[in-house]
Amino acid sequence: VESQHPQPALGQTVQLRRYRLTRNDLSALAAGNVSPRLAARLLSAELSKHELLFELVRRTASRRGSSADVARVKAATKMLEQIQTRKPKIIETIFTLPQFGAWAADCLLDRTSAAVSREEQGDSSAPFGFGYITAFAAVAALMARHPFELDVPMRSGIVTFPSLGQLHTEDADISGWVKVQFSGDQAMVISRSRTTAFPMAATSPSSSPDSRWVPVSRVNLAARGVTLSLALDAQDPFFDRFGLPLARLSEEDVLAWRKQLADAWKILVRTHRPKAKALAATLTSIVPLDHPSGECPISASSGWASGAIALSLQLDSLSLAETLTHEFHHLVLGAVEDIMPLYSYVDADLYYAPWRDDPRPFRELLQGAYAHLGVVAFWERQREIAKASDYGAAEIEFAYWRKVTLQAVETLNASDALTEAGLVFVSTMRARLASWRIEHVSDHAEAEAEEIIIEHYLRWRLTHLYPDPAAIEKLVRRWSAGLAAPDWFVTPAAVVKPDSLLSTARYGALKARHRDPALFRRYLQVRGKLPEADIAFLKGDYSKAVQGYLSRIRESHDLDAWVGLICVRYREAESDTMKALLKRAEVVASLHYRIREYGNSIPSPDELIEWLAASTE
Amino acid sequence: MRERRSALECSLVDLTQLSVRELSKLDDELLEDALRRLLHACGGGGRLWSLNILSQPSDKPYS
Repeated sequence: VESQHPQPALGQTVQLRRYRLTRNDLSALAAGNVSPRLAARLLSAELSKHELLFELVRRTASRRGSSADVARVKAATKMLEQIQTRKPKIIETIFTLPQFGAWAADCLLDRTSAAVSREEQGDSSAPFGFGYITAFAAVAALMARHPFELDVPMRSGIVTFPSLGQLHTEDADISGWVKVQFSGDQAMVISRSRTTAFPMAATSPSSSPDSRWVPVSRVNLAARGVTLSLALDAQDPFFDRFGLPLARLSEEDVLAWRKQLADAWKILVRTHRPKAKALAATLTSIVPLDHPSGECPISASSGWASGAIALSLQLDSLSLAETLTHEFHHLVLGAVEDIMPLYSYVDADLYYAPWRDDPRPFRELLQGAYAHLGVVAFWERQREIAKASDYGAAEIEFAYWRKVTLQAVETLNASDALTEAGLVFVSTMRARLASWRIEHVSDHAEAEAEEIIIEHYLRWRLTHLYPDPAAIEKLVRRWSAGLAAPDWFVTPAAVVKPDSLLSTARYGALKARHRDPALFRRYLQVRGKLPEADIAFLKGDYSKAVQGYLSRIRESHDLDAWVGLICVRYREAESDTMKALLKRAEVVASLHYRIREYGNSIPSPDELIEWLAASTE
Repeated sequence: MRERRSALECSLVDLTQLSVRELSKLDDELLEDALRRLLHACGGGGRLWSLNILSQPSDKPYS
């Protein structure tokens, strides 16, 4: 996998090189092995990407920006040039910030141009545009103690200094531009109505408390000689791109975050040391998100904000270690994709991703599969070092993730969209996962994992797949005429629809069974958390569960009951017929629904299953 | 079966040795081509891949 592409030149003198990832590099990364050398290469690539974005923003602003924006971008660029000659590391730090990439992407994806007039009219909700580069330049100048005067944006009286913090002026109802001056000793923020001193200590790690200054918290963690230094930043306006509300952190919240991060870091360094080292080199910011009451913890990352991981506080430190591993893999793959394409086109198809309730496009399936390859490796190691009391849960997680991730990778591997590099990457993932598949796990762990896998798969099919109506009509006619079923397993492909989710409660309970026994007990005991049939299913009372599901199906077209019923039937007889049924569960449910609509006597679900299955025997 | 694209036919250019001033001397064509490739990698949109909500059990009530 070598480049024959000509190296671009800058003028007559400077020959630019392109990043290269050899076949061995790609294979190592695909297997989840991010060596310090490869981590450095990826970080360098992300820095280049941000420099590229900066220059594109600068040129785009000069062509499309307002005269005020052009002036602000010029002033900021000049400032950055000056600082770079004396302190180049500071400019590298600024360009590396995840929010720098996020801001530049917003400018280039034209999210800002429509907002310019709103901004100039003082609309506090208007997005920041090209001119926001002055905020980054101001931070660079403050860090370098370089005297300057720049206009920076203010929203509702708040001036953001990216990565440092926010100054809350007394002009809470004013949005627009304020002047920031630094004389060499003192910095001032000057609005039309007042002047506010900027706490210079804010640029050092030990910032002094000032009620108007809300600093970005810094977290420095050391464990067994590996240090993780990052920002805990829930205030930057460009960290809103995860589509989820940023947390409002109290002092108590910050302490909880520090504690969970410190404990997770110990787990990562102790048990996953090479990955911890790569993570320490990659991660610059944790973006705390709200954890909506009653919902499960969430996490996210964005390729436009490389170096940042957004997440809510997790269930515990082990979950946080797992989540950081997961998101780290997204960041790695994002950088690989920035260096070279792994697929040459993207079709409009949507695919089953075992970790999502919604159908996913190809590129997201690849991202998810790679993130979960990291999760498989995580649980493989956790299983090795787990205490007896934790071993069972770790084993089930390992059994679960290795199977579903391989399933997704098989889908990816069959695609002709993969480039040569993409094929190397995906086939290595496949080989790595296949090597884990032969590792022994107990029958109990396999069975528990399988139950979760089947429940999710069935629920996904019955939620999103709509069989061809003509094929269903044909089945209805044959059933009504007392004829044998045709070869129903060749029913034309179903249509994927992304909406109408079924309840995830049973799935949540199945996962809680090994991960969170207290939560599992609540599922069983708290009235209303689960239907009675599900409770019977989870308690192993399959006869009662079946009666409950059948009763609900008799009463209405209850897809959730169909999922439960087929889960039980599959558990009872894991035959080839039942395996085939899993892949056509939506056909059985649709057929039952249509027969009911015709007003004929309603067959029992089991009768229909048997009738259809007979055609395959 | 489509012909697979050569892996490095358009890989990212290393700009880390360039100063801010030198960046301004790059060809428009090179920059625009690089942006096109980045948009290919991310789909041109919000580039949010990974909202990960299923890895842990939920306390969400049945509804």
